[in-house]
Amino acid sequence: MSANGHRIRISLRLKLLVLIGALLLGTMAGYLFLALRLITQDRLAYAFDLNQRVAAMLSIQVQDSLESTEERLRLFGELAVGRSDAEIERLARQLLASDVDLLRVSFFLREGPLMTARCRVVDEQRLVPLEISAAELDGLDRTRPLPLASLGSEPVVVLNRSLPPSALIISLVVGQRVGPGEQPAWVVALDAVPTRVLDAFAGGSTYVAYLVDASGTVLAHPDRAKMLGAVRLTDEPPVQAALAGGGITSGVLEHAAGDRRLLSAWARVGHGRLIAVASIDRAAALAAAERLVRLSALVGVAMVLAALLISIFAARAVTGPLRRLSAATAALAAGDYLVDPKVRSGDEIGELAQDFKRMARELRDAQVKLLQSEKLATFGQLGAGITHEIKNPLSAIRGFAQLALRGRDPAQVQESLEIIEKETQRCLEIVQNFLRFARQDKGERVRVEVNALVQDGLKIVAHQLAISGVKLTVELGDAPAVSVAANQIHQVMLNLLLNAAQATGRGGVIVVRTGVRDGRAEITVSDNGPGIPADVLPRIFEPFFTTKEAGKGTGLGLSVSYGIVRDHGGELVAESTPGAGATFRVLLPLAA
Amino acid sequence: MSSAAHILVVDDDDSIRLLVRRVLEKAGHRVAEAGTGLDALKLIDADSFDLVISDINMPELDGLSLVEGLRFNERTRAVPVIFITASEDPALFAKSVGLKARHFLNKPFSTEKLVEKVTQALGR
Repeated sequence: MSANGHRIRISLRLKLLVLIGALLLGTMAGYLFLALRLITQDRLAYAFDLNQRVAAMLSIQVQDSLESTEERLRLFGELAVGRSDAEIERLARQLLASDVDLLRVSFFLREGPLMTARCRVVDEQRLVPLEISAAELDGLDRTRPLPLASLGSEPVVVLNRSLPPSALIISLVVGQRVGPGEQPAWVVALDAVPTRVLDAFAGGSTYVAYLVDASGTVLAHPDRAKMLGAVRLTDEPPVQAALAGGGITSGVLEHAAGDRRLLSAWARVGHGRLIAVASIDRAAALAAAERLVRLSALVGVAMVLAALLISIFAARAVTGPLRRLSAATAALAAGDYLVDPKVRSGDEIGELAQDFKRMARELRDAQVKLLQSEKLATFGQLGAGITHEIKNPLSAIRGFAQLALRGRDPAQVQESLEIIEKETQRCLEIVQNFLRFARQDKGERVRVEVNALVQDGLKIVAHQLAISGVKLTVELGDAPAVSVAANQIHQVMLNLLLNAAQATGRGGVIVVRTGVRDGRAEITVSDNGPGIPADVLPRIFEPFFTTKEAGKGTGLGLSVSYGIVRDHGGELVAESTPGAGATFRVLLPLAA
Repeated sequence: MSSAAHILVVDDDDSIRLLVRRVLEKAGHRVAEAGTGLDALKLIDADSFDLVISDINMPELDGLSLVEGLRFNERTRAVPVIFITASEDPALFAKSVGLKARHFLNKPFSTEKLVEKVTQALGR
């Protein structure tokens, strides 16, 4: 019946929130997953691309450097052939002077199957920062001999002949260009510090690049120790790939390196004899992508939270009106027919609220009509009493009017007229009492003292009770104020009093009391009639329940009275001891 | 008016009692008043009346009970009675006839009717 009777376990607002949250999170997760995939793929592709470009660029640099040096050495060789030792030494000094990185130029001439050194020119000044002597440099030719005898038809060889701990030395061997199967007549060897090549392979912050020869031995590497040791990098996957590549001149691959993964590209350089490798740490390549995804996730979570916050308000906008409507329903059930759900929205809920309001008004109209018709029924019961009651003053008026008309004595005429006026007033009061009760009222609640309320009600019915031969006793107690529709409470009183009079019959006694019980105003109507049988007592407030013979009652009196009292927030209680009368208690909340 | 009668008027309504007194005194009768049935019985015990005019609906002791009391008393058994009533309930007529009270005066009555009924009841 009440709103509390049906508890809302999961509110509509919560359901909406969960739905919106799930949708948002799903969309967000889907977006992040796709974004991560796309960005990762894009970054990987970019990383491979970058590697390839780095490898290619390094190849070109190495190639250029190699070719230009090779040309100069070949020119030197051709100029040196057939010259005197002094002239060759002069040429060699010119060559050394052309580049600060050059350390030593050696010139060999074929004598039979052997190559004989004709000239070795060293710039000793340039050996000082390397902390080696000319003798040590010469020693290299014994410890790591140049491949003078095995130069082929494309006689260019690059060697790493570094001298630990500090001398990085790259040697370039160039022979006379000859046909296939022939051996060159002369060979020029150059020992140099590979400054420019090292610069090229110094590596960026994101990639590592190095150069190895056909045996996998390091020629240039940002790691100085690897260069000084002339380490062989044949274990490195890109080097293996390049060595196994056959005719292929470049490639990319992803491989493990310790606990990291590297993205690498390689390219063949210098007539295919050298290999340039560029590698990027996969994690570093994807770091930006990961940062982006992490940022996206953060922004996403913030957006979901913001959206949830917004949807809390949105949900409130939806469920607020529903809540108000629910409260209005409870108010209607409690008898407030003028309740306004205060929902002004232009949507379906707004329409529902309008319909609800209309329904409440129609219910009120129906209720008013029911009250009125039941009141008229009560009024009908009073009809005989009214006629009877009004005949007394009418008799006096008629008689004294006749006396006055025929009177000679002015004093008697005066007396007659005074009585006529008094009795006319009495008629008016009787009529007004009934009219006030009979009038259709709007049910407006007015603050009124209980005792005054009861006395006004008794005026309407007292005469009826008197002529019914019923003795009425009134015991007015403490009289607090109540807020009621007086007319409706009178209807309840009349109903109870007339019922009591019918129950007792002539000679019966009805006692009306007022007072306070449990913080509520109480009006009791007790009679000394036969009482109400125990099997009937629980049913007396049911509509159309009557024990009176047909035509003597509508069966609605007590039901309507019960409704009126409940609408006032009060209680109508019946008690009876069969054989010892009945008592009806009207309990009303005190006025604020 | 050949002779004056001693008449008791019983009614809880002051104005009607006064009206009956004024009309009947004018007609030359002596009138006594009682506001309740019990007062009436006391007066009847103390004095003798030629006629009792009584209202039927009165608190405590009503007109019918009063007349019933009169009929049980040898001294007052034959006193004529006029009932004044606003009711037209046939059951009342039947009951009053049983009490040998045939005379009725319906409210609101005229003064002529009152005098006429009194004359009839006194049998003059």
